[in-house]
Amino acid sequence: MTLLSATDLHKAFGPTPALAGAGLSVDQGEIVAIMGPSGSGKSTLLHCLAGILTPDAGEVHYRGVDLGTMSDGRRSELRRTEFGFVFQFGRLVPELSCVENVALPLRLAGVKRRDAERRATEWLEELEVADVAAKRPGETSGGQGQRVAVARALVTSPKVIFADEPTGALDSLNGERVMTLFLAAARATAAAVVLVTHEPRVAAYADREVVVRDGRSRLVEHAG
Amino acid sequence: MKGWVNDLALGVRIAFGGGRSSWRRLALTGVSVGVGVAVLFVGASAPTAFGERQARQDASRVQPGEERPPGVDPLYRAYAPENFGREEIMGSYVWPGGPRAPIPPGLQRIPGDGEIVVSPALADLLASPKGELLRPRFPQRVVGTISQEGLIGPNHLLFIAGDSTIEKNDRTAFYSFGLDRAHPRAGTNPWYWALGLIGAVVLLLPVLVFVTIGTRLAGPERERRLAALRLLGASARQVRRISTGDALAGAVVGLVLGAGAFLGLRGFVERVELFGVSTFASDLTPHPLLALLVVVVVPVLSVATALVTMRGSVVDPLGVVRQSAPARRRLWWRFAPILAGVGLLAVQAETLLEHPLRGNPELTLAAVALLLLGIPLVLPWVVERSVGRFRGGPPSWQLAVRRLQMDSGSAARVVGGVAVVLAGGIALQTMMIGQEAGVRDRQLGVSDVERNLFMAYVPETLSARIDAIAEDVRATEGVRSVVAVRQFTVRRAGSVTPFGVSVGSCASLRSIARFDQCQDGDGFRVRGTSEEGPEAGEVVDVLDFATQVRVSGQWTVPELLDVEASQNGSLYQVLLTPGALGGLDVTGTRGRLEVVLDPSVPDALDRAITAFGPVGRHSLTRSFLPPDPEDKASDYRTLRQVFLAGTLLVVVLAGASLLVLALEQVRTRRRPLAVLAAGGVPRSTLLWSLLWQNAVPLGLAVLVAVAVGSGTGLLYQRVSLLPLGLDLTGIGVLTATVVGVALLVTLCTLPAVRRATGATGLRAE
Repeated sequence: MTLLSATDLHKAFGPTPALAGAGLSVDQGEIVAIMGPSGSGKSTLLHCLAGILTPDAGEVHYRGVDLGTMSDGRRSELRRTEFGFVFQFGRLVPELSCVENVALPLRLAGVKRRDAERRATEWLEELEVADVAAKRPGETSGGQGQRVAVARALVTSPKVIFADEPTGALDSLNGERVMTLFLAAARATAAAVVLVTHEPRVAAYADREVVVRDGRSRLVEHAG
Repeated sequence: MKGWVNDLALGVRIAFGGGRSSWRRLALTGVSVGVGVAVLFVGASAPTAFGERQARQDASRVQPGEERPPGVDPLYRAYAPENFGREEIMGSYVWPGGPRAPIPPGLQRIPGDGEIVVSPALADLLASPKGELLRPRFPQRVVGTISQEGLIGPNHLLFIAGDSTIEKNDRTAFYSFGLDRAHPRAGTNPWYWALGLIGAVVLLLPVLVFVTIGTRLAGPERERRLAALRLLGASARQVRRISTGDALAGAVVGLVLGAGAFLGLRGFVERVELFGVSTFASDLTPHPLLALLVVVVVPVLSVATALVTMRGSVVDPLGVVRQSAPARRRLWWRFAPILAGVGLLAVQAETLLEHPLRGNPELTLAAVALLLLGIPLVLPWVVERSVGRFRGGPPSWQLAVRRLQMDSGSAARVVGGVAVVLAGGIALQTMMIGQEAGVRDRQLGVSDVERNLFMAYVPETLSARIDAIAEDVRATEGVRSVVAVRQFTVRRAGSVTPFGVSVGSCASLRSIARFDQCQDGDGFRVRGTSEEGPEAGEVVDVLDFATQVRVSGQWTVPELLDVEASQNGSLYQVLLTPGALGGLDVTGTRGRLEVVLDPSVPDALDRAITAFGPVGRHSLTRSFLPPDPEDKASDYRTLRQVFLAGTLLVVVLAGASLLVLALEQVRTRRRPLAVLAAGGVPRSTLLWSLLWQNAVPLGLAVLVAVAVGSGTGLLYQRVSLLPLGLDLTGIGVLTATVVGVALLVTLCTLPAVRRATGATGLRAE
């Protein structure tokens, strides 16, 4: 069943076109990798899919509802409750401890602090980083920080997880570890994953690969 | 040495030549330091502004009782200040006693009969719709404008009119203008200076704090650049010198911008009136020594701040690392000034509590200054310790508190500056409350009638018309009653004690003394006066009331009935109806008009003065309604007005500083903010977190400021033997202003937060 779909997306930043007719669909529980060289528009496509950016033209549907018809507040709520995000370098909130970072999406959803932190700790254990729970992000290694970021993306049991170069800042060993744990957890929760990467090694974890070719204009889809 | 210069020059070059981000950083530092410099220049101009103002005020004054110098003709002058609404109009009527009479400062010539020269502010007031009620008081032909030399400020309401009918005697004759400053103003109270010093400390200290904050801005960018230099082979010492050059560049840009802003401000200053105080642009000139001090202190402070900031860090080729976890703030030296202040108070505590007037003003003054100086030192510690204890709360609160727990230094420094201003403001407000309560206590003895009483002395030249004038005034709206009497004094032969005699109608006399029967020809003697009055049949000399010079032959005192004085009649001794004069001619004696106003009529005073016509112009009019301009309290009022204006300026400056800090923080935390927004964190949560980040340190600052400010104010009240009391409304208003600034600053960051939470903040490449 198609969970998320995008058709004929156009997006330009000033005079520079980033997307010119891109499209994509993601089924429930499916892992899709978006590949392409730097500057090809993969991140822009991911941001449009997640409702972070509004495309200049084209539509994005989540469970049949056009994101373009939603208000900014409704899209924020959608991202908070249905989506999860993993970015390059983790991008954790530097002031909060790791467990507080993971618990934050739950707190925003109204879960009590104690319950939120208990569930956050469970996810940190799942991703084998419970030992850094009380530390601040600046006190952890890159691999640990990225696993904390994965825990934060999974803690609300999202339907779709968007990951933008999740291993881009890690060495291959750490990258592999993060990907293994991340995708195992995602499959366990039946979450779909949209994975932006320029590394074929990472894309190999996906069920399907979508390649953004020729920079911004053409989208080519391959069976994974 | 050459290496040093090269390193410094490199630092300056990097500051200017690093492309867009360098310019942005330089602009940020320059604007922040520049605002502080502009305020410091205003502060450095204060002595000149006050000095020039005082000099012109002194130059316009005259000394009574001056001996006639050879070759100089007298200028006869009747001082005639006016009250118009809440405005005080100063002025005088003059007439030259010869061609060599002195010309008042600011005038080209002495105005002729029926001519008047006015200050520009008075000309504007007269021309405005508001001046409609005032215009009838100045029917003369305006023949010129009083120039700056004759005015204390651009809003000075002043007139000088020519009038040939004014009294011309030794009392009204003057031969020169200018006060002899060899005789300083009497009664300079050390506590008065205490207020001034507290004001200066309170206003200038925060500005210096803000200058250091401006230097610390954009720290991460500076550190990245320094790390790049290390990578190119610069030594750690060289990096420090380069950093010094960089800081110097920011300070110099700040100085230039600040000087520019100050010059720009000067262009508008004459149009600005803050709390009744205005100044001429030419008066706003920094004192050379103080200006030099600003030019030297600001760069030194900037460089010192930059070096102190680097103290705990090591600049490595791969980045800047702290040598250790941020050290906890040490307490002892931060509390030293406050402890010293408390100590100075403690050593004289017994004296201050038991015999306040015997307290040592210098010691107490030093203690107050130390207490205020201690605030910005203690506040970072208080903020750090307090936020360290905060737990729980909603996500926005948690984000803010965690941020403050990581680094509360900059915010604490800004609010430290605000706290000093606030503490000083509360202290001063509390002192004023005591002062006003003292004045109120003194006024308790003043009856309602006296409070609404308006008096005018009618000179001899006009006293023949006194009854007609009284009729005009009586017919004016807002006038309850009018007493019109002519006055002269009598003296027994061989005695030195004069007795005052007032002549008026039964209606007029009835408001001075209590009696049942009265008809023309009756006379009364008021009981309870200091000396027993003249007896009936006694032959006495008749003297001029003001000069005590014999004006007529001898006069036989008629039959007098002893009566009680009424509420405001205790100043009178002998009261006569015209028929009791027995043929004595009193048309040339001075007259006195007393008008009781209806306080419910808003313009009653102005209407009455206008109705007086020429009498008001020639006589010293006094009223209990508006504040007495000669009252000592007006000094305090001016000080408070200046201080309020300064406080406003510093609070605005603090707001600007907080805004720059908040924007800087949003910019450096762009990525985490963008990630939070991408994850669905509502923008309102982020804004609330920013608000808490400003409000928490500000709230703590307010607590400290209220404690120190109220304590200092109560101490002043105690040592001045004034009634103790706090100005809760004032504290509320000042606090609300600061809270309003926090809110406004947060609102101003909204566009930056919007930009930061966009998708561009997520881009890694």
